Amino acid sequence: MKKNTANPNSIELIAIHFTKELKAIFSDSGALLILIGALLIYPLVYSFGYFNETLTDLSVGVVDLDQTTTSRKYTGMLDATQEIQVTYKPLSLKEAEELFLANKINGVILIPKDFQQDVVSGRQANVAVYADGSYLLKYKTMYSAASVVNSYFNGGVAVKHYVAEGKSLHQAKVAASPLSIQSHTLYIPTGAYGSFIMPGMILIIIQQTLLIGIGIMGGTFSESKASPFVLPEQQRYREILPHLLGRVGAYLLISAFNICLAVVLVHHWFHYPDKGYMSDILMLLFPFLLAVIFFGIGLSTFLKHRESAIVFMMFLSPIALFLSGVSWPVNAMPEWLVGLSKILPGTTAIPAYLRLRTMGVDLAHVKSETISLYLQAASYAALTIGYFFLRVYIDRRNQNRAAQQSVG
Amino acid sequence: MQTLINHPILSVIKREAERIRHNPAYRFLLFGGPLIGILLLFYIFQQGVARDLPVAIVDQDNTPLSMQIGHAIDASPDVAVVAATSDLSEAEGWMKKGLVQGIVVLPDNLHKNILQGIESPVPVYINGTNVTVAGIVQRSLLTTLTTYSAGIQLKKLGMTGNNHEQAMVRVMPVSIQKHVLFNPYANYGYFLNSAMLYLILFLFAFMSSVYSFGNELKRGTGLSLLEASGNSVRLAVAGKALPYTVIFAGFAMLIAYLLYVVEGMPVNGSFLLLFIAQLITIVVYQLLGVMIVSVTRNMRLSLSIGGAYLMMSVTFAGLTFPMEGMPALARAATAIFPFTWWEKIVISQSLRGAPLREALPYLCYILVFMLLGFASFKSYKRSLSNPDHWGKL
Repeated sequence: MKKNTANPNSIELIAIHFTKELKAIFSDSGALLILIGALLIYPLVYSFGYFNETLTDLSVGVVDLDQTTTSRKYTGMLDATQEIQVTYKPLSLKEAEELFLANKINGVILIPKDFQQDVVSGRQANVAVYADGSYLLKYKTMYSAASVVNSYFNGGVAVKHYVAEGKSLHQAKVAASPLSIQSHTLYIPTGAYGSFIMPGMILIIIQQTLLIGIGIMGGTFSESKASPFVLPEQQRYREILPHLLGRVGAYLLISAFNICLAVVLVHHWFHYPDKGYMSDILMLLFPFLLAVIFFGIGLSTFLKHRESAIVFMMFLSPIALFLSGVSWPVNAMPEWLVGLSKILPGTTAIPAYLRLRTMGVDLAHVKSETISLYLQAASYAALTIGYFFLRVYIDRRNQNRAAQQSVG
Repeated sequence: MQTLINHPILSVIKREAERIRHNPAYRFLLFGGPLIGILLLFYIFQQGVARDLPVAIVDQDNTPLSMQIGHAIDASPDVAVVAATSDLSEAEGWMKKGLVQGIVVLPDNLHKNILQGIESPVPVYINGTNVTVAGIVQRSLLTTLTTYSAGIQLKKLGMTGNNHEQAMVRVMPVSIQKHVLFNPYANYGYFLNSAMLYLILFLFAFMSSVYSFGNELKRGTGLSLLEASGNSVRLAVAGKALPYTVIFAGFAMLIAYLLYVVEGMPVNGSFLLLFIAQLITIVVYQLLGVMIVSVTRNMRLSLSIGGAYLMMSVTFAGLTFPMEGMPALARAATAIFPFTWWEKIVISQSLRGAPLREALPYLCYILVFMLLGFASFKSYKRSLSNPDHWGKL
């Protein structure tokens, strides 16, 4: 194209830079691996690791020192929960400890002697739960299962007492729990792990691979790379915008492919939450991608060597994941850190994206985030464009000086 | 004495120090990067627990009792009542905008019904989008409400002539005593923080190794390296790796200081074993760096593949989601990451205080990975002296 027309117009310039960038990406195995391969590999491998979404039938040991019908009923209720399974019934706490240290059981529940007698005669009985705190999810699963069983058991005992006093079954139930608390967990009722962590993680992967990938493709003014401009020095100013638009277009095209893969197909294959309208999701992702791509192009101008992008940005990926609040609540982090993390567009985009996807809210409920992302994209674009103008100006001045010196 | 000063390993170390001095990327990999990563992660988890998660109250009753319930909820450290309304749909809108994580509805006539002994439902809605947040909000709200409910029951039983203790037993015939083994504060911070800090350390140990060994091929400086090492690839690798090992061991001590002294994470087992294990794991990741460079002979590709390998090790170490929950194939895959075994050592020696013999096999599994590094020395040497393998990215 450059050869055909000596003086391409802006649209042609955009097309030139668009195809140039794509060609450069597709002829570089490292960049391809990060920009496209990663979106294929990471979501699949991670989803695979989180495939069984909830922890069920965690094996525990029950030490039943009472050995009565009541204590057996209690054990049976524990075994009947989805979360835990009574796999051993050791005779003493000592024996249970040995089983535990041999990793045969994940926790121990001790039913004391005289359990039945206490319950019947109105003395409080204590059931001891020994849970393994070194794996937090195991501990939480086991303890909450035991608590639920215990409160059901207590409810039953209390109702029996009231009935014994002459109340009707209904009255007894109301008396046993004056507030009837009805807990509803909305949007992910099963509390599944993979479907909670993966959607946000996929967005972080898109962000980080774009930032690293753009960096790997090399800064425009990088010393190890020839100047990307096709117009002669004097006309460079009018090429800056087409150059940027062409490159942004190239990365948007690649992102469109990645979205099909990671945002549509992976969700479909692994049954991740998908309640929102795809059009709404794209409306949010568009400013997100723009912000990330402009940020990436701006950052890449500071990198001297192409591999530096990996060196400087890879380690930020897990940190960016935490800062977006996907797995660790943002409320538990220092405010300055949360503020700082807003530099990355993902921090703003992910909470809004999760509301669209897993809660199924409409675009109006993510309006403030969408506007923030557009503002962020606009400011990164302005900074990048400004920087390009400055660089072209400096280059030209230096060259003029050099020319003057050689003349003089 | 003379021979020691002229020992080839020293000239390799000097040569490497010179290279580090002249390239800012090395300095970032060695100092700036690990420091930034470690400090950021430390601050992310420093607080350890989430406080004041936002919830809304839909008070349709507007009685002293309903207000009291609202105050009781707000008093819990885990949640904060940030908004109140009498319109459920308004509160739902807040949840959809991400402003509140839970809604408690106190329906009309709540107070009256309680006094008259009529069933009084109190619906609680929790945003389940984030399992961690939902868990905290649910536990906090349910604890407050059941305690309040038990208080009402207690008061009524008191009125019908039971003494306090009798009434208490009526309300809770069986109580649960919680014993949390090994991590008494059930602190998720310990858990994730230690894993992530060491991950960053190993990531930089690995990447700096790939970078420094890969750069010799990229810039075609292999012959000068072999010249300095007296044509011995073993001495070349050892001399190049040693400065990094020393510096990363220093960072490992910083992490240990932050975790065990500042955060107060327990060391119930042997710190010596932990110390030796972290040194070995650093060296293993350095050697894996040599291996991947000699296999791909492409520094950039090595960095991308290696980075991915390191990142995935978090998922497969079974920390965020335990191995028991993984499918068999994924569970088998956990073995190919040295990080998995390292985490087992941390849990065994730091939290559990298990006997040494439990942790030693894990250490041996990590050592196995060293063989992969050793096996690649020959091919790395060939690449060093073969111009065909130079200059590739």
